[in-house]
Amino acid sequence: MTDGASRRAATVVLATALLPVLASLWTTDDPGHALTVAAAVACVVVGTLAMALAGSAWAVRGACLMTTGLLVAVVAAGSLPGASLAMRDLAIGAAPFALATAAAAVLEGRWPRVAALAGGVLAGPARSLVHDPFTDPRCAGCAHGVLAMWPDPALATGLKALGAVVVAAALVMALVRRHEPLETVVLAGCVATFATWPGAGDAALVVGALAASTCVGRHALPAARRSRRVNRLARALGDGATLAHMLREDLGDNRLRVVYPTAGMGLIDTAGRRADAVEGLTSTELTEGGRVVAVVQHSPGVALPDLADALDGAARMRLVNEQLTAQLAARVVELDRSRGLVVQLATADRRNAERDVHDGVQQQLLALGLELRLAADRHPGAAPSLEAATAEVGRALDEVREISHGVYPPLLSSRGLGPAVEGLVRRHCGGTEIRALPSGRLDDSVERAAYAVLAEAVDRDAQSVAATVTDGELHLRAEGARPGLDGILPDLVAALGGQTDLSGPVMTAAIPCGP
Amino acid sequence: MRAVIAEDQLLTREGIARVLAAAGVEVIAQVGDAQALVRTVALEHPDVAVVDIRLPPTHTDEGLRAADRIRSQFPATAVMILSQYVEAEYVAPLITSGAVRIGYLLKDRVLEPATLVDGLRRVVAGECVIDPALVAELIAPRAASGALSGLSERETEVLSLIAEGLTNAGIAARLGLSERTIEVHAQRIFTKLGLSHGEHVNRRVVSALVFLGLRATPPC
Repeated sequence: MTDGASRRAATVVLATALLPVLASLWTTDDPGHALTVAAAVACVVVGTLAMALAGSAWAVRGACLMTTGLLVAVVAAGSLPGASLAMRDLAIGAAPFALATAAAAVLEGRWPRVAALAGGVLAGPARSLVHDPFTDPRCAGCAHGVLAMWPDPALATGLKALGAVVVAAALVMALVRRHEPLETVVLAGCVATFATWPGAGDAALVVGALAASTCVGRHALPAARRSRRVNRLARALGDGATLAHMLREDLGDNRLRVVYPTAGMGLIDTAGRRADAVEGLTSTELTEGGRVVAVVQHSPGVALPDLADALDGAARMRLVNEQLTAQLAARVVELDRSRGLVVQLATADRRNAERDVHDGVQQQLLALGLELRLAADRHPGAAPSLEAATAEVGRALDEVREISHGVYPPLLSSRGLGPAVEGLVRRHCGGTEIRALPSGRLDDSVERAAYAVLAEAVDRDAQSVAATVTDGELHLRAEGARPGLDGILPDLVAALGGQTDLSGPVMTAAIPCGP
Repeated sequence: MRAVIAEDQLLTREGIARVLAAAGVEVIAQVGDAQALVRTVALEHPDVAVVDIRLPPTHTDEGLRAADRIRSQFPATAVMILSQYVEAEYVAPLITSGAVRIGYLLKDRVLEPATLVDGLRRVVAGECVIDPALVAELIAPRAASGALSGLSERETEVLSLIAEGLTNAGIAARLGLSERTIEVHAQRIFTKLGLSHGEHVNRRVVSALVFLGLRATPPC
């Protein structure tokens, strides 16, 4: 039964009972009238019981509070000196039930509520059926009761005691859950005393009920407020808001953030980045089935609502979903970093390889050529073959120079992207126009990737090339190149965090390069 | 002629020293980095400094920068840059500040002692020396694109020798023609290409090289 439907049902039931009861306050001793009132009370009892069994928490609470108010009015009316007999009977029957409905209004949990109401029914209306006030020695100035069908004093006393005990048991059941043993004992004691103490009248029972309700309400109302708030949060979570957003709004704490634990990567935030502990924030863990699902970091003074119990299935799944999403994002961040590292290492390797060739092989070839030259000078007879050998060495030097250039162009290494592109264009003889080139140096990997892109463009007879640095990004543009590029260039640029569009006649790329 | 060699690779340095010594050049010092080079030039005032482009610590272009300093602080010392690579872009900053007493040769020229020593003599004499391989690399695309179609074969030859920094006398000696003939050729070439005919041989090297595609960027 939904909240709205229960509320409407409660309103209908009580409205139905209200009018006849109010009317009876001004009538005289009349069996028909008494039966009408009894019927009204019966409706209230049945309706309240039904809602306690089926309705949502707040509908029941509302119904019970309204019922309590109604019954207290009835009891008060019946206790007045000029009250009619029927009213007095009604008051006697209603008083214990008022205690029960008051207890039901503030108790948590369906079964404690039902037990309280059942106890109230036993001690109140049920007892009235067998209790004749006239025969009750403790009742002063009572005439024959109109409600008593089958008078039986012993049964009446027994029902009253039983009902009180059941109500007390319900209170105990509910309060033990909240772990407050002292108050539980006190309240149960109050109820039992009022129920069984010979000198206590029914009015005293009502006073006891109100005292008990106040005591319980002291705990229950804030709990109810918390629970309502928590329910609202849990519902919002189930509807798709993120936990962090919800908590930030609810608690008004702008510094609040939610981070997720991962296996091996520590705490990460929703974007997958490492979230280190921040000064001045306390951490509260949210667990699910024994595992920590999320950690809320908030300002020290702020108290988090106890969400763990209130989360229903959808909200729990949502929370776990958030954790998994964060972990996935962390993986992506890690992979990106790793890919960028691979490219940087590869570029450094190339530079080192080129330097090794320059310092190693080329030097040795030169020395070899020199030795041959000197030998040719010393042995003129062998000069021709030695000269031929020297020429071979010269050709080897040329080849090594070409290879070395392909590995890492020397201009790129020593002078940077600008001069390297100028050399590239000049060597290609295709008449490519250079529109713009950066004047300073950039990171090795960035220069190498940019050179690779522009070299490809020039190779494809681009009409113009341009490279500019704006807002920390190197922008490359080549127009008029032959389309149909494939290969690893897009990946090379992407690994450095950049984007490319190398498909059409206009090739563009943007690579982050810092300030 | 007194020379200083700056080269961090031992084998190559020794090789250059031997080649120079065999040709009668006095090698007064051999150093391994740019700072030592500048110090030695300040102390010894050699006629020429033979400098590798790549020197420690970064092995990028310390040699070029040292050459700049020597030319501004000790203009009496000529500088011959040796490079493993034929890269016109290395040359551009050298010649924008005036193509006097500066040269750029491939390290391979060590295998041709005559070319190396001749180059040294020329820079000491105040000329600008550009490696023939570099000039050839500049001429090729121009020839391919037809920018030199107005020139005869002989004129193209003369143009490349001009770009190498040779004087009219030097070109005449190389080609076996009279100096007067070369003068005529040179004038005709410059007129055909629309270049200003600078009186001084060093100015015309720059014009020729820029025409051939060298981008004259400011010295670094």
